[in-house]
Amino acid sequence: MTDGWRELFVPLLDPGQRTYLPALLASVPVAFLLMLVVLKDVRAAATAVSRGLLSPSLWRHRSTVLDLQLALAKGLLRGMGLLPSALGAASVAIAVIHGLRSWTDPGLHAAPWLVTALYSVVLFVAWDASRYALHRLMHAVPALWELHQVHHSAEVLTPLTYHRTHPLESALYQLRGALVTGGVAGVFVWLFGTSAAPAQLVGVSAAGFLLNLLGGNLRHSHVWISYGPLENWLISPAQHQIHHAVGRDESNYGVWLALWDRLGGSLELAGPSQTLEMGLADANHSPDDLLGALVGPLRGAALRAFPRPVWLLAVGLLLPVVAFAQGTAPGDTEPEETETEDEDETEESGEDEDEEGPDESITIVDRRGRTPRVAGSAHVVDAEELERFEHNDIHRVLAPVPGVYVRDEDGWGLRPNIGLRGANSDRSAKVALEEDGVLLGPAPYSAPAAYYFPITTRMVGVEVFKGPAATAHGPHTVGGAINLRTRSVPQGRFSGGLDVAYGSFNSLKLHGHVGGGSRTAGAMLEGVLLRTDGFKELDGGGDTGFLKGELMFKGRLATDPSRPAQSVWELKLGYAGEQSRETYLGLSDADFAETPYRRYAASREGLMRWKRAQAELAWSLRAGKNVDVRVVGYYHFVDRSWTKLNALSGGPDLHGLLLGGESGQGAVYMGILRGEQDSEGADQNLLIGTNLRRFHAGGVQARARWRAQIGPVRNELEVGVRVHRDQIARTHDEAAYGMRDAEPVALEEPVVITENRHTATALAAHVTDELAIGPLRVLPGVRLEVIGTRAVDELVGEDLAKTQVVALPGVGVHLQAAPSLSVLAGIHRGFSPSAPSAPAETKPETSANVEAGARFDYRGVYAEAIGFYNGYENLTGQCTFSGGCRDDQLGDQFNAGRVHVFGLEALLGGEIDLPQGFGLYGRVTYTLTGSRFASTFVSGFPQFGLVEAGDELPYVPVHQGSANVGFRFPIGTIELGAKAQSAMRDVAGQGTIAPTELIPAYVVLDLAANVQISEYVVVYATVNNLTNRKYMVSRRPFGARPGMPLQAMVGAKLRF
Amino acid sequence: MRPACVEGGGTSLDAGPMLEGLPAVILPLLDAAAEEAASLEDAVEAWASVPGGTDELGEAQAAWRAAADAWQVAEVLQIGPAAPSTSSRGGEDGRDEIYSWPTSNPCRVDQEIVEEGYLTDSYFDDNLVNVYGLDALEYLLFHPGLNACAGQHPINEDGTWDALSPSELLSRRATFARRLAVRVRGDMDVLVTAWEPSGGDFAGELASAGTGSTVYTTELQGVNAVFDALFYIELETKDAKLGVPLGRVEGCGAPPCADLVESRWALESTAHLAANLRGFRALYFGGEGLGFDDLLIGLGEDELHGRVDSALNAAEASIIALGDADVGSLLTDAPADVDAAYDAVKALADLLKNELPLVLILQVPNEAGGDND
Repeated sequence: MTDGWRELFVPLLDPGQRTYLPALLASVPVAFLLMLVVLKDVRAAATAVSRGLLSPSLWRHRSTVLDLQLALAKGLLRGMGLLPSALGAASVAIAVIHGLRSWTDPGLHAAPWLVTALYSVVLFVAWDASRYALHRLMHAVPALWELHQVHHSAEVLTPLTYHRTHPLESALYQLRGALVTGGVAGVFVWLFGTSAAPAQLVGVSAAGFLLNLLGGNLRHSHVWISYGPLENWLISPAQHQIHHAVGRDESNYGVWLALWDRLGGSLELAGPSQTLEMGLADANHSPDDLLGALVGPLRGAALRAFPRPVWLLAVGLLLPVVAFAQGTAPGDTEPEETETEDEDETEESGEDEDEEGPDESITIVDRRGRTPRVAGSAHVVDAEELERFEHNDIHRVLAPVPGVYVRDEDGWGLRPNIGLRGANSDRSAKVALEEDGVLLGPAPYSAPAAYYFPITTRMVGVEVFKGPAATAHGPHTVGGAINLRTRSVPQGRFSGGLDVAYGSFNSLKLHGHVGGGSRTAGAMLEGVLLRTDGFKELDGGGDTGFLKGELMFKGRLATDPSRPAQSVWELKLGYAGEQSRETYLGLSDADFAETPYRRYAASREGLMRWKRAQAELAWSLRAGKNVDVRVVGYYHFVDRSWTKLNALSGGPDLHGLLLGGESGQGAVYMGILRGEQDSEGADQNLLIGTNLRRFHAGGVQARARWRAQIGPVRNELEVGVRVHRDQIARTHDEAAYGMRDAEPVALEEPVVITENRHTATALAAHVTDELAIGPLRVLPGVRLEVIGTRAVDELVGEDLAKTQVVALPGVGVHLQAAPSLSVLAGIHRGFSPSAPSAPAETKPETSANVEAGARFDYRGVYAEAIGFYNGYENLTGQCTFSGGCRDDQLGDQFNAGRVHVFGLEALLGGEIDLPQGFGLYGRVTYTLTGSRFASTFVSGFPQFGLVEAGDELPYVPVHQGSANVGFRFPIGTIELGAKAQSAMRDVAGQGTIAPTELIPAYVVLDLAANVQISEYVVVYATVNNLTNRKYMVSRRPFGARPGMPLQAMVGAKLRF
Repeated sequence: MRPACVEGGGTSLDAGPMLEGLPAVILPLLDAAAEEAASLEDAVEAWASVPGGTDELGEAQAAWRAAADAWQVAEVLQIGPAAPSTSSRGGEDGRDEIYSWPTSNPCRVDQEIVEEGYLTDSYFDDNLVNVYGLDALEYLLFHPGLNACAGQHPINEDGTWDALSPSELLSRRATFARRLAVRVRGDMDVLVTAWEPSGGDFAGELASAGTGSTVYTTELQGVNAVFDALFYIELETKDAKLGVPLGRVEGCGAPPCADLVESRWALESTAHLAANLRGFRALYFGGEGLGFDDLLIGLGEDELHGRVDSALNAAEASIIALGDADVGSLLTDAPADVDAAYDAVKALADLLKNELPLVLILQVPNEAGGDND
């Protein structure tokens, strides 16, 4: 703890600090001299300094006491390793240098004094600009403002107010400093080949030191020092004091240079002396309460997403977890040998990482994904496999995973429909979708339809959990969970990659990532851009393509890894957007048979637009090899609007119309859809609307794992807690359009037809323990979900609130019966919450899920066969447009009572190594699924309709399978993949599927080849739907929809 | 509004006898409509022989009124061949062939008058239902004036309409009408034949629902088909014929919308409403045989049946209260009466939509939830 105590005095003893004691003392004469220049009166100047800086009333003020307490508290936190102290600027610099040198070495020469001077200036400007930017963000972003209020709640200003910041704000500033200093230093060393340092005084930057000495501390004082006209160039203490005044904090964000405020339109000159009231009118904490200043801002930020009771509950539950982790300090735990499989379990994708960092995310899946030694079904599509086909469509990625059903919609996988083991695939709403272990859906509890889905090509792993393994995920445990793993921050060297591909339909992919770092600091940036003209042909011509892009930044700071306990802070920021000319309108069977890629004229207005912002801050602690904790705070925002044809103003519903519609009135309406008939009369108009939906989702989740040997039993206990809140606000409008000369023409202004808001607040917790005794592993677990929902319908005036509480136990058993053979079995409770708008008496989806099977792995041949039975007590359908529901049904839930789903998932694969680096590999998967409704009923859910006992589930093929065979040669691979699926039903039924309810069986072949032409460059080609088969993927939302035709792409990947 | 639905549970409904008995109700009503159609054909034939004859035209108009009145009863019986192919088992769009309001397209009819397309053998194959049937015939018989097309329509811009002399226009209208009347009578016969045991025997299909029918593989599907037909009063009688013109259902930009009322040319809209309710009554009660009333009573739902009965009586009374005037003029002359009629029909339709399915485990037609009530 010696280091810890030293941290307490760093603010006074470190010359780099503004409150370095000499600088602090110097501020008195400096203030006097400056005031003397202004006032030209010694007495007046002395009085001003005395009152504004030295007055005991200032230093004894309760606000100043808190300044000091906060400085000490942060010192303590740093000493305890809970806040980063030694920042990784050097590591950033080294990474930058290595990265740039691997590109080229400019070998410039310059006089050392010139380098120093240049470096000092650049660093000073970069430092000042980045502080302005972050400061402005602290005010602009509501959650950050909650933290920054600590600084602004100061009722009096003293130089100590500089330290009056929330620890999280301090961490952000330190991260900024490390990145800026490291980045600038790295570039200079790369350019000039010698170590660069700023002009220094007493071992620190001369510029900063001098400025601190010359009045930096007076910014936080009550001495009115204005620079007059110079304030257009330099921020004066008086200007900063204005920034601290009540209600005037929207100006003068800068530190030294006024340039940034001028550019940002926030510069306010100080003018004559003013008496200012400092502080905040409505702070989230008391200005003299240390605990309040630490907790209040956190609570304030959280309260934007969580109501008070849940927040309190969350903290109450989190504290024991943290305490548990801290309590098992490194010294308290006997080091034990780590098992081989544990290494595998905690390893990242392996890509771009030549140094193993601490386990910053928890996964239970063997990265080979073939024969995971877990008690329960789990599969992973690893980075290597993902890279071979470079799929952008998650449907194609998941095709080889047994037990996963997908219902394609647009041919590109823009809005996937994924189901697991009978769980309805509509908008993937029954699957727990995660990215890096965090729920990724726009509002996974209150509106689980996943209208946002990440671009798969940037993922380095896709994990699928079924059976008891799903207990650790949620809220949907009926089918299971899918976790997408994003690229990690490199911990060894500056590295990156660029992937450019071009192909059919004018499709373009640009994908790049770059990053660097060390074990203690690093950052990366990744971006993907996809665009295409689309493969559908709009009547009369027009765009049917899309543009979609995603940007992700990750920053990582870690304490010294050589210390027994290592803390890691990770920041992930993401932004994504899409514009796609998509519609819900498909084709009639007759048109599909003739021109499957046609789009009717009535779909011309179709346009989906969305944007998503994402922020996650994670803290991981690894204490030795036996304890790790990860806490993640996350917030996602999605704003989407989809303009599309909803219905006809009269006549049949569109789904029904497209099933027949070639005679009678149907032919008239079809003529209107095709643009062959003009609309005549009020019943023949097209109702085209824009569904605007705004989603917020945020929360805090914590997972802690503890490994221990207790007698003969190896234990791995995992405890997880998540407090989550999400909301969907729907505003749907609609207007009548007439079809005129094959173009929809607006006849009226849109009218709002839906305005509702659903919110959900959920507390989820799980405990699992993997007990291993010799070859036997037993994994008992239980999950708790406490879900409060509220549905407010502004138009109808309804307000429905309810609470669901459910405990979901499960247990899995895995026995390594022989070195190459294992058997497994499991049982767990399945659950999917009921919709917020469903009446309180509506039951959630629940099931009892059983599985049993065996795995075999011998000399490169691996096989798996797992039988499963999901006995639904109540299967539900939740209404979305994509499922065929009407606007007034959206979000409604329809019960289907007891349903039996059973089947077999099998997998067989192997590899044969041939001489000279050649090899063959292949894999076959098969899923058999049977389903039976147990009762007779009718439902408003379009895919259920009139159900009779014995009917089969819609959109679940009885047979589906995949086969992949590849040939490996020294510089590349060529692989052929096939996906086959038997016929599916559009609505529940039994016996022969009626032609109008049939989605016929199909087989689709994909081909991929890649060749490494140099150490850094791989060229590749992919062909989706090699035989150009025309096949139907769905009849939802309205009419038959085609799968993608033959699409060839050629690309090159550069890796450095 | 979210449609009602029944969840779980089985059905103990024994609807077989009702389904067996219903053809005996439906066929006579279809026969009656067919007979009127035959009379219409004769009357129009007579007018076509003397296009300028006002008596002949008057008789043709009277025959149309009688045929339309009989058809408006049969319209409710859209089960099997008469029902939409898009949403009904065994549906063959027979109703649309005979009467396609509200998709009627008077401008297209005028266009055909100019082009004389109706003289071609393939006229009915080349054209959609919106230019033939009872509705197009109504336009030809009752609208002697200007064409219904916009000023920029080719027949107006090219002057081809104006080039027709009044006598030529009359002659073409009568000839066109004759072609349509023959077709209507033929379509009516096709429909009757489709039901007759000696023809398509759809009567047998309905009677054997769940016991051998290829159309209705379960009894419940048969009952649902009848239930769907009863829904005519919700979707058409209540919404399309009353609600839309009143502005109480989406579709009328500036209420009231007299131009959206049925039978704009013959002004028979009120009579049509009354006929619809007669059709409903026949189907609900099963004539003298078994109907939904008996199903309800059999399930101990006497009280619900009583309310349906009362609501039906009230709806009929509200239509009678409208008198002889058509709905279009009543929208301005006595809007409160039209409103009251809407409310009365709605009360009946609500029972049908919300309560009967719960008791009988029936599927509410998809379109029925889309209104704003």
